[in-house]
Formats: sequence, structure tokens, C-alpha cells
Amino acid sequence: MRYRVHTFITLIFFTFILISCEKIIIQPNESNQNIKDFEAAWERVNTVYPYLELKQINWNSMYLKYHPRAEQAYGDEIYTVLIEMLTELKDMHVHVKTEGGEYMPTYLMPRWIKDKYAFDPIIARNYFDQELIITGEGRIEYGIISGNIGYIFMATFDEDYLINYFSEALDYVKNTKALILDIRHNNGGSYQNIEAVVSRFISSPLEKPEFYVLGELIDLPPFQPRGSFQYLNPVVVLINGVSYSSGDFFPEIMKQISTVTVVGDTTGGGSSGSTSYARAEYRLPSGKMIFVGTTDLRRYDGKPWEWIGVAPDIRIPQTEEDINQGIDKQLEYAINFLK
Amino acid sequence: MKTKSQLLLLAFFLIVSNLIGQDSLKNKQVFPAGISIEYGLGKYSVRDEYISNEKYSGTLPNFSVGWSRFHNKHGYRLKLEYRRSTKISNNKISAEVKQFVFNQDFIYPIGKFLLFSKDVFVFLGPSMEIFIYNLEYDFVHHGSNLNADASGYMVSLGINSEFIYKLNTKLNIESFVRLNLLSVVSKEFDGNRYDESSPQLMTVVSATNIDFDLSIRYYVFKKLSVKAGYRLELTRINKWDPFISCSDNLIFSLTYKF
Repeated sequence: MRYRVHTFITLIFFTFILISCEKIIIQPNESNQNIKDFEAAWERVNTVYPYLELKQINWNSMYLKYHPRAEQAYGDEIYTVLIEMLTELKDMHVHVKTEGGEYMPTYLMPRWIKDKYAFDPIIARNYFDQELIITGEGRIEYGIISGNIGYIFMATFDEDYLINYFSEALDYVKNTKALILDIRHNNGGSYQNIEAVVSRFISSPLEKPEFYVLGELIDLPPFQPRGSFQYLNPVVVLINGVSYSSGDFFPEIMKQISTVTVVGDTTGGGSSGSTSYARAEYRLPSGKMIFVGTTDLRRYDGKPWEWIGVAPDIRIPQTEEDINQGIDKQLEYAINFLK
Repeated sequence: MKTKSQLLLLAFFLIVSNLIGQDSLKNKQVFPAGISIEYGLGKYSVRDEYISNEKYSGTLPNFSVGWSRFHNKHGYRLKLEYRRSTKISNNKISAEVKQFVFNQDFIYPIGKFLLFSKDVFVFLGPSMEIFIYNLEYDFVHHGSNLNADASGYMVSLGINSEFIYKLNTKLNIESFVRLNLLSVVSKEFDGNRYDESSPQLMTVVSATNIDFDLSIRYYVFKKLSVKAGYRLELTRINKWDPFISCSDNLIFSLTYKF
């Protein structure tokens, strides 16, 4: 009987310990489209990216540099090759997206990194006697500061939050003597949301700056005044290095309006983008995706703001230390300026 | 490999030690109640298709503390398990995995049967489990903002079953299995591709969590026992972008009965 117990237990242990069930249950992925993915990604950038010449990037030399690595890449090693190759563009708009949908940026702009912790909406709220009103699914906050100065914080130009909810905020502050539009840490979004805001601050048509899609100049109609009223009192637009993409574009446009002063620190500097008919999103053979801008937005002086950003009229730098001490210098300056 | 050899030697040593015929026992005396601490090490593999279709594998240690108690008619067990490793990889790409598991089991004796002329005590009961995981893939370098990560959780109701084969007053062979039946599950997925809400209620067909354990327990003293064995853990979420993880572990634990 003892012998049967020995045998039984030993067999059970050998079976489990030596088989290694995880090898049976999860099988490795057999397909390998890494070199095809590399070729497709390189070609896509070569075809559509608008700033190779501006940034003086020899894209052919990047092929020679990364192709050998792509040939030797097995499994997920191709992600490293793709990310590092696309990092050469130094463009925060350029992403890699996994088969499942996780976004991976390839680059973070220096000013974005510098100002990442230099703004906190919670600190800004301390400057109000009453709680800010929140709308637009939390993306818009507004109120009135003592001295009858309105304040609207716009966290993003994405989706249709401003198209649908900006009017509500502007209605609330319509009788203020001045207004602060705060787009610090606004990472951008759609042209249509910018239009929804700009159209409320102009009393006559405002020409749009140059806009290229795949190298072709697109004729855009000017901004038109819209809405139940135009806000023509003094406005300060607050920006910082994390204001990016449409967060660069918005202050550039608003600077053209005589009642507007832009305060803060230079924006991040990203002027490539996407349109519905020339999408930045591009699927690689394996199902991974890359995002490479197809559009080229310019400042009113005709230059892209890529890397350069939009400088404020009045530069008020702010640091993480200021925020840690509960001080929002840029907001304080804007309030005092408008008083 | 060295650990496996040592375990086999330990098993043989315990088996050839004095096997004294057992007296008739109550379930309370048989069930290994008390506070336990456990360490395990073994092979681990994972694939979360939200990030990649590639299999990542390596070693993943586990640390757990537990407490179980048996009253006259039933028992219960609480267990907290934590697992973390930066030593899983796909080719030269490494990833960090973290898992946290909390279990609560209720245990009811349902009878016994004979095996090689000795009793095998059988226990069965409902279980609750919270399983949370996080994977961070180092496509660039560890800690970079340019990497990818995925996470998810599963809160489950299920059943557990335990078999205790009392070889003698000092030696048990124990086997345990826990299976979820119904779970509230959430994991990362691309909202543009799946027009569904999260979390979702899922049956074992879509969300599976199995723990299986086979071990030998030796009572050093009446109140102190040591256990060595094998554990298999399998977790699978077959919804959105599927997730699967599996591990084979050698486990060692110490239990003190108070």
C-alpha cells in the first residue's frame, strides 16, 4: 500500500512540475510582419509628412539606419524600431498605436516637459470666492472673479465640447467687464471647436492663416461672427508649454483680435495634423497603426509653428515650485492686468 | 530546475517517513487552519491583446498571507496574494507585471471516501475573489513616458473544493481547486472599436479564473506545519481584446494554528 502511495504521489508531481502547463495553454504568436510594418511606416512618412525639409531630416538615411534593425527584430522588438525611427521626427503628433488601441507617443516637446507640472486647475480655483461651474462633461469650467472679471477654462478642443457648451459659459460671463480664457494644458483637438470660440469674439470676418493638406494649399472661408452676441470687452488668453496643436493655433488666431492679449509662456509647437480626407492614422500590415500628420498649419506670418510654438504678448513664466506653493502667477497677472 | 529537484527529494523524504495508521478524525482536526505565509516561484506567461498578440513569459514570484479557521460545521479562509516581476519578456522586450488577488472562501465538509485504505476528506464551498493586474511594456526603456501599459480587474463569485488525504498524524496530501462562475470584469480596450460598456457581468465562459493546488503538508508540531507543492493559476478574459495569463508555481508555506 505504501508503494502505491509513493508511486501515485511521485507521478502526480512529475506530471505537473515537468510539463509546465503555461507553455501548453498560451502558445507563441507565429506570424511575423515586422519588416513589412517597417517598410510601410517608412514609406508613409516619406509620402505625407510635411516637415522633413523644414526639420532638415534626411529620411532616406533613416531607412538605411533602421532597416537592418527591423530585419533583426522578432516579436515586439519591432515596436522599439518603429518608435525610435519615428522619434527622429521630434513631433508630438506622431504616435504608434498597438493592435488593441493603446497610444504611444514618440516624442515629448521640451516646453511641454518644462511646463507639465507648472499648472494645476485646482490651484486656479483657489482664486475664486465661489466654486467654478463645470460643464462639457468636465472639460469646461467657468466663473466670475471679484472685480467682475469672467473666467473660462477650456481643458480641450477635442470632441464637440466647445461647440455644444461654450455658449453656456459665455452667456454666464456676458456682463463682465473683462474675460480670461484659460487654455493652459490644452492638448488640442478640432478646428471646429476653435471656430466655435473665436466666432464669439469678432465683430467682422477674420481671415484664416494658410492651411496645407498633403502639400496643397486649401482655401478656407474666414472666421465669421456667430452667436447671440459678440464679447468685445478686453480678453486675456492664458497659455503655457503644454498648450499644443489646436492649443497653439487658438492663441495665434486670438492674437489677431485687438481686444485680446495673450499671457503666459510659449506654447508647445505642433502644427501638423489630420483631416477627414487625409487622415494621419495609417494601418500597418500587422494591424499596428501609426499617426503621421498630413496637414501643415501656418501662423499668420506664413511660417509653421512646429517646434517654434506661439509666443505670448506678455511672458510670465511659471514653475512647478510656484504651483507647489499654491501660487498661479499667470492667473494673478491676468487678473491684475484686467482690473 | 534545482528547486524542482529539491522539492522532489523533499517529497520522497516525507513519503518514506513513518506512515502510522490514522485514528478516526473530525473535519476540524483535519483542516489546516491558522495563519499562513506562502512563497511561490515558477514560470509565468501572459498575453494581453490590447497591447500585443505576442506571448510574454518569464518567472513571477508570489507572496501571500492567509488566515483560515474551521468551526464545528464549516470553515472560512481569507488570502491576500501579491505578485510582481520585471523578468517577463518577449524576445528582447521586457515587461513588468503586477498582480493582486484577494480571496475569501467558505468551506463545508461534504464527506469522505477511501483511497488506498485511507480517508480523503472532501470540502466544498462558495468563494469570492478580486483579481487585479497591470502590465507595463518596456518598448523603449523602463519608466519611459513612451511605453505602453494595460490593466484590468475581475471580481468573481465561484466555488472552491479541497481534498485532504490524511496519510498519518503528521502528513497530509492536499489538493485544492477554485473556479469562478460569475464575474464583474473590466479591462482596457479601444472604445472606438468596441461599442460596449465596461465593466461587464460575465460567466465563466467569457471570464475564467482557475486556481489548482497539489501539495504535501508536514506537521512539525501540532500547531506548526509546512507545505510544499505545485500550483497552477489560469486567468482568462475572452472579451474586447482578450487577456490570458497562466503560471506554474512551486509553492512553500508555513502555517501556524492558534
